[in-house]
Amino acid sequence: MSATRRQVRIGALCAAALLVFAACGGDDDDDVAAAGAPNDATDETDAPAADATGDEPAVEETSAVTNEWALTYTGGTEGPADESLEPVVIGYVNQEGGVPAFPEATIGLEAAVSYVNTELGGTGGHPVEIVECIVQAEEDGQRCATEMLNNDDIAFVMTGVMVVGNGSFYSTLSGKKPVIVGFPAVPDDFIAADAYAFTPGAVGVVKGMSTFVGEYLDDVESVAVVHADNASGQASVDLFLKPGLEAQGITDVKAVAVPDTATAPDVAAAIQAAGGDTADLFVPLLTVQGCAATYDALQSLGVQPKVLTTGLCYGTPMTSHLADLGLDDPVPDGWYFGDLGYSYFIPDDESGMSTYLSKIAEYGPADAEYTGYAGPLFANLLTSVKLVNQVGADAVTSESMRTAAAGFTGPMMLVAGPMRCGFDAVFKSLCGTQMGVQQYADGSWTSIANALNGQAIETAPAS
Amino acid sequence: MAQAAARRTQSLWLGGATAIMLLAAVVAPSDQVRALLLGIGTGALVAAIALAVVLTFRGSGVVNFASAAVAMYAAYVYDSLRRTGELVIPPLPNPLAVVEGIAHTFGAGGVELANWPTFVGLGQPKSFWPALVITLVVAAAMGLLLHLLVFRPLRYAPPLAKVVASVGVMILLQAIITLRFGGTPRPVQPVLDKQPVELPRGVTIPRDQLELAGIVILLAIVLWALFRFTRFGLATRAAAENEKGAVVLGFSPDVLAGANWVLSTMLAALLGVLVATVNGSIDPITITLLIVPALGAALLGNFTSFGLTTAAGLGIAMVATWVQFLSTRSWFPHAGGAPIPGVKEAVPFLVIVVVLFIRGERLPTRATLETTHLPFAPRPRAVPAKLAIAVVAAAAGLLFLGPTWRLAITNSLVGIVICLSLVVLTGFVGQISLFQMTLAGVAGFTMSKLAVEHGIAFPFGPLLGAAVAVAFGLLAAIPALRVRGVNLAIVTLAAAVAVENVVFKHPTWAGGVDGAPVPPPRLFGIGFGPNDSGSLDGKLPNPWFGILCLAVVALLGLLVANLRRSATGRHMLSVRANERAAAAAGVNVAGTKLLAFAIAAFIAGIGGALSGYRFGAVSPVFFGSLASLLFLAYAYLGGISSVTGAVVGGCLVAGGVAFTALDEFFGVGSEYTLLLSGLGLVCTAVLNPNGIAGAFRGVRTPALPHRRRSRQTPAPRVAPRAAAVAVEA
Repeated sequence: MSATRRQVRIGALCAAALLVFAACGGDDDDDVAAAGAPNDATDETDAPAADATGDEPAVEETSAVTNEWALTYTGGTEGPADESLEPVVIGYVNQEGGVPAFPEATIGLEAAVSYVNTELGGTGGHPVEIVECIVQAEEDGQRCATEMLNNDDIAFVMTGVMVVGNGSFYSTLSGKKPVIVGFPAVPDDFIAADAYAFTPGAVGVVKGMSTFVGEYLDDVESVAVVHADNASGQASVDLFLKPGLEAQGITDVKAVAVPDTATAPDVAAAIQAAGGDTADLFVPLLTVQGCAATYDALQSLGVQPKVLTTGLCYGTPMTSHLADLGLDDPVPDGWYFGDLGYSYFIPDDESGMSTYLSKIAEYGPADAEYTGYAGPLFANLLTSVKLVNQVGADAVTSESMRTAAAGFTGPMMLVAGPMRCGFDAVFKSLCGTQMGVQQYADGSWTSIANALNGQAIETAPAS
Repeated sequence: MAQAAARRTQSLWLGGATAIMLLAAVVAPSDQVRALLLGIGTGALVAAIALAVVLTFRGSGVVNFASAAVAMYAAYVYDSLRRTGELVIPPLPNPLAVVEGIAHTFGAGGVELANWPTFVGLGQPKSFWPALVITLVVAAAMGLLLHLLVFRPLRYAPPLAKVVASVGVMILLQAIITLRFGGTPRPVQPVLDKQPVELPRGVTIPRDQLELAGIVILLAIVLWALFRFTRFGLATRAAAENEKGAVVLGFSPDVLAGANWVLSTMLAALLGVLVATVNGSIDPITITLLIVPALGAALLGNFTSFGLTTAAGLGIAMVATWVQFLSTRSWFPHAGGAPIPGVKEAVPFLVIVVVLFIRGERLPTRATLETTHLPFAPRPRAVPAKLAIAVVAAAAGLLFLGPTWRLAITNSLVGIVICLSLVVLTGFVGQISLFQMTLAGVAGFTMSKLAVEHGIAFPFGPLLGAAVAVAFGLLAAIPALRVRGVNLAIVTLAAAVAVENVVFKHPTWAGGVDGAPVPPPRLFGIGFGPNDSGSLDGKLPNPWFGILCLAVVALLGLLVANLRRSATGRHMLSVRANERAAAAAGVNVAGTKLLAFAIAAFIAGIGGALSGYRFGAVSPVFFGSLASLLFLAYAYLGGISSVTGAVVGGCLVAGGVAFTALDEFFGVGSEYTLLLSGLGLVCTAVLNPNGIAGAFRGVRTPALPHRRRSRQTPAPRVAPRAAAVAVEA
């Protein structure tokens, strides 16, 4: 074959490749709804509903009531933002498109942006604009940080959920532009300097769970743990759960790690190895996928231990899975769930939960996964708007936002307790100081120890 | 005689393994028996994929790294039919896309033309059997297409091309599913009964896992009977033993291979569907990754025995589960307060190594027709001039282009280093290693520890890190002295998984919550880190870090170019071409291989060190086993046997120049990286084994024979035994 023919062939190959990726571009099915474009699911019947009976939560508040809370919280003014004013640009970085992916974080953020710009007057009248960068690989963390850093319109950056590229992302931005962490998922999120997580994070939730075991569960002498085999899962168990349980006098703790993508057979074997079939308490600390696998594994082993897990396990994937199995309950009966201290299923006005549930239904996709990372991102955006309003939209700089974020003491939307950024010298970014536990049993949700019954669990030392 | 002996050996292995299992079931404590049996579900999954691998190999001589990906793809097809009644359509060429791309290039980014549909509605959601039947039809079509478009043209290609093509197919299928369905796991409705079943001695295990294992064993028996008693099976076996003989007897090896491809993809699809229903969910990763233990099981089954392969698949997973159970015992070695990590994941590697030592030289290579030449390794010419031009161009780009391009060039430079290591090892010596990113990780983690705990910084840290990588590389070379070709690829892949889990996740290496940070390089008080200041426009990244990478690439490029021109390089090429001939000519084959492994490990180590500096830290994720597969893809795409190819390969890495250009000029986001890499890899393996660099060099490589005689069954040109030697080379 001549060189020319070969080059023609290569050229054709490139053209074919171009055609193929363009064909892929036609897949809009997984795209999240565009910000500023409320979808059809705006009537009240489509709203995530709420009562304490385990059915779909039902929000009874009117739009005016929920708006009143949001206006008070953000310090905004009712009505749409003034499109003629310069937007306040916020950088946003999230992990999407690959494996794993957290698109629900963006759903929450974009719904919040639409809500703020449509009903809360933007920030001081200025519309809020998001500049998004997607992370899929380690290289993307640095790339996104560089993009954010080099964009002079961006004073601060929000994140969704990331498990790759975190280290280079924070090290590139550190000290230059503050980061408001969406949901801290890996150790890099917790230890980052110049980053602010208005949540207890996985660290605080797991720490609080150990306290809960000692204070609320009787006769627990042995604990079996199955956790995700990643840095965060390992750190949660080794640094918080085990020491916390030992502090409560519970020393018989066996922990087994499974891959992030663990399936029911993997988890079943791990449960048996950790002694989950005989222990007084079984604690699965797994991904969303691992939650459903845990339920299947327990069923297939024929054991029904007392289960304490995280809020990831009451998300839509678990609900869908149980529905596939033909069960009426949305989550496994009797399980305890550690979370941020309020309840998606027992919505209250004080934390902004009613506002969130109403508005995510109005501005998010029809089938939005509202119990996952969408909530924290919705809350973070409104909190960011609140901080911008405090600073003044025209006075937003990296320094002023850093000061405002570091000084934010709460209350934080959807999150229990006061905020105290930097209370932990190691996990510098953490600001949340309380978590909660709720239980689903006999068809209804009950606050066991959370802000709704005034018994949220402290996760930070007294100041 | 040899076949009878092999069958006897296989029977002995199978019988021995079964006897040990039965003995363990009787005498071992019941909790340990239960631990073993709880691995039966995962074991069934592994055995299922392994059966498909063996079937493909017996029929076509291809070790299909994409078998598990086919199963995963089928599971998604099935689930989509069950949930929505829609059939997923793979991406198809869309002529209008060119118009959109051109419009975008000229600033009309808003032009949106019609796209192909991504799904075809087939009415209401399907029940189990219709969904399964449609899925199997899709799988059969996929098998036929894979045979006709990819692997039939590669019939005479060396093992490397086949490995690369199947890796390309794996990447492509994974990318299609990720683009179509996203990466979030999807629940799958169960089919088998999930209730527990009581066994003797009070052992309870999940019924669906037991049933799945039963189905897999039944399928293995059916396959055995098919190959033992039917005309089709006997013909396939005849072709596998001696294609010339099969042709003389009137069988077409092509037709047989095609039929086996169809059969294997249908088998993978059937088991993929069942596996997904037992798992309870699907995602693009979980089933796909089963290929690692499945290849191990297939290797233990000699790529021929369905029984031994099934036993090995079940055994590997069951032993792994048992080891996991043991890890909770107090006597189990601990690190940082927890059981040492990764032992369970290392089981396949350990089993493979043990079997390698026992079976040694008797590992299989299928009798194959004469292979075409390996990718051309040109003698570098006008190196100083080319190097000067490249260095000046890259330096100018780093200093004067914007931040986006600075970052892209820097990423590409780091990628070039890793690709250079593959040029030496795979391009020059023909050793298919899937261990290079692991070696890069070893250097990166070592450098981090040296810097953080001992204050040993740039430039000594990277050099010492690379030295440790050389030690690991030489360890990896030991099996290379006994196994070759695709078997070496499997061993190194298993080793990569083991090191990733045992070493990189060990607290001593991985560090605590702070991870494994890497302080920026400094020399004479001047910081060269990517986040240090130094750019003309005052923006990050720092171009001087890119210049540092450029200097390293230039030095290593010169090293590799000179290696190719030296007597050592010629020895390497002679080993690649034919080990026996090389040995007869006085070349120290073992020494040459060891040297190549050492040089490649050193280069990969330097790449790992640069990666550490680039990110400010090292993490197991970046240096995982799949990363090695991807870098093999990039290197092969660029041209695996030349420095120029490594440069092109580096440009193709994620975040590198090529994909940045696609993003900047055509609006093609990074989510298409995998898709284009997979597609490019398959096309390169089939159409242009010299890679992109080779294509533009205009070299004349012997074309694949089928294209000259595409409509007739080619006559074999050498005896199988001699051909096996050629394959080994």
